[in-house]
Amino acid sequence: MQTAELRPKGMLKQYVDGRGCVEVPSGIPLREALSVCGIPPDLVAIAFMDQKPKNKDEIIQPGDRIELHAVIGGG
Amino acid sequence: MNGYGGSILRVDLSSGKINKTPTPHDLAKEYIGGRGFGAFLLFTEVPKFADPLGPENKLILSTGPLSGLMIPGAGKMDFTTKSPLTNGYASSSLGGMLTAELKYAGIDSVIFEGISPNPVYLLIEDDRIQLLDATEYWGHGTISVEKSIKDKYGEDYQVAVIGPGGENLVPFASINHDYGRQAGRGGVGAVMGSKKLKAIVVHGTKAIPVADPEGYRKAGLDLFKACKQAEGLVPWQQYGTTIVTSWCNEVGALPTRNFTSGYFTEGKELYGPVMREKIVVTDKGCFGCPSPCGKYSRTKKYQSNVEGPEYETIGLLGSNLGISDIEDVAEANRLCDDLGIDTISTGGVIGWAMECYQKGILTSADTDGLVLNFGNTVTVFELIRRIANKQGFGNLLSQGVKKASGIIGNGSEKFAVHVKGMEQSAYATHNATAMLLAYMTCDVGAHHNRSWAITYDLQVGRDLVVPEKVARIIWLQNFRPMFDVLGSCRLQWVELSIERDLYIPALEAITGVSRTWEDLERVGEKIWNLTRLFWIRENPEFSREWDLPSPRFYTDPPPDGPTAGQITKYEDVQKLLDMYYEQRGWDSNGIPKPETLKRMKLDEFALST
Repeated sequence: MQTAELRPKGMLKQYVDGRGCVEVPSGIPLREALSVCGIPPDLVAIAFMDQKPKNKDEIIQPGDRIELHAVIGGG
Repeated sequence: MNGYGGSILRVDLSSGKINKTPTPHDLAKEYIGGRGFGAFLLFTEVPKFADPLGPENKLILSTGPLSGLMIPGAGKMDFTTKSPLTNGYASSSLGGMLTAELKYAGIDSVIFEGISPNPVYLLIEDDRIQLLDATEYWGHGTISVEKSIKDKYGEDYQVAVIGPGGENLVPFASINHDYGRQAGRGGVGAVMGSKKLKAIVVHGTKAIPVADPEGYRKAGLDLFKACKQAEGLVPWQQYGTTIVTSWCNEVGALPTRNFTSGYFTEGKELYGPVMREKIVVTDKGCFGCPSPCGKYSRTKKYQSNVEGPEYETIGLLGSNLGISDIEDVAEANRLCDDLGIDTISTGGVIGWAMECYQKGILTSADTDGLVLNFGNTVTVFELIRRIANKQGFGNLLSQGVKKASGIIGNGSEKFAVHVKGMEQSAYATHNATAMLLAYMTCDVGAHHNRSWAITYDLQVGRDLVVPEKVARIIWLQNFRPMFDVLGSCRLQWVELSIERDLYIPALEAITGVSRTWEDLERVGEKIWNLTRLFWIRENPEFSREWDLPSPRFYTDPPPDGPTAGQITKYEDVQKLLDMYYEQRGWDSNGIPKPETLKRMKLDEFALST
């Protein structure tokens, strides 16, 4: 199966045993991929690919490298 | 004294007398600076039951020991006063360049007292300090006045200014600076207006003494490196606080149509990336900021420039009013800035009026013929003008949502969204018990910045009511406002996740005083209790009722979105308060117990309440 990479940042790493990079299957929405690897989608403030925001409902493509940033503290 | 400007400036506007005294060592030791200085000076200098808009009230500006130094975000100033909106403690924080300039003039705090017979502005040029005639500026907006003053004195002069809102004593008037920064909450601008003080203009050229220059250089560099290497820097800088707009909508926390819901169907048009693409021209930071969250924007629709809007403004002047065009929100933001009124309270009170109109409690006969439907941008712009000028129907709204709903009645008090008279900022808390408690117990009213806990709600379970959640709120309330004491921005710690321990060697190298975060949290707890005593002293009827949230969050489940059908049960609201009081060492009415005050060496203040 072709895969993509999720790269959790900051507090999100705690949900993947501190790893900075997690492989996930492609062809599914990002929201689903987050759940698959144990990251609560509600804690992801913004997902980035090539420094552009990626919607959690978008389908992950093979080879995607997606940075995940947490909601930390608001204003 | 290392890390300090070294003096406290007192300006008696009634007599025109100005004098400076050395900053007391004991004050610095016990309260450190910023919000700490403000709380102590307010409690000890403003007489009991002083009229917030009378000569006895004081407006206190304070810098902190980090202000103006090369520490990330060391550009924060605190404004403290007795609030004309809540009749309690008000403390509002302002970013920008003003605090640094004041420190360079050798000043830690400025205390304004009395009332000037004529409009004046204060000009500080190091030790040359004058009150000058401001007649030519009175009646004009903040943006044009700031520009005129800068044209006159130069770009190195920093300006804090009020608009017509402050002049007209709107109790949620702001003090503005740097063409779009607001000390917005609690009506600090109205107090400034009551004193006939139009502006404060500062230029300083002195050095700030530092205990250990090499240690300071190293510790400062470590902090900047940590910020620049932070994983969250790129998205934070790109979107600033608007990074949370989409997230808030996704989790049902985006205030929508007077907080009837936490989900705005048209919300996508307000999200950070849309705003960045449509209106943002460039980023803008405060003094010493490595991660500028401010955004300069230009609207095509209105051909106007504005700093912002940031998240709170988008929530209150956008979704909360049913407005889905970011250009409309930006223009409403610009109007509030120029007229000098708080964007959060303004959006709160207009949202309440729109719901009254929708329910038939208000009709166009009450509103000067204005049609107050949600989403009616033209009406929103007109109401902003009328509120700032206390004109017609705007006069009612200018009193804030608590007083306005008390006048209108007919059940409208139940959807007046405030705590202690301050309109709630931009998190819908139908089902987010930690954030709800944060609003209920915040020391200025329903404001988010002391204890921002909605992520924590999602992490541990949003409807959970347990002592651990309460403990988290108390820890945040003791700790987060310490950045306002130190005179630096908390957002580097909050948003970039830099280690808070990095601040400790910097503080020690600058002041020569060794402190731990545990010490600092103890100071935070002391200030929290002192401000509580101020509320109690000024309001003899103060009791646990004052800590209750708007009934909206325990009686009206949202009709749609992720929190559809969900509320916090009233018994859970009461349970949260019980646990909070117990952990704080307060009695069942929220009054600090004698032993609690003794532990914090606040017994002497208890006597005067």
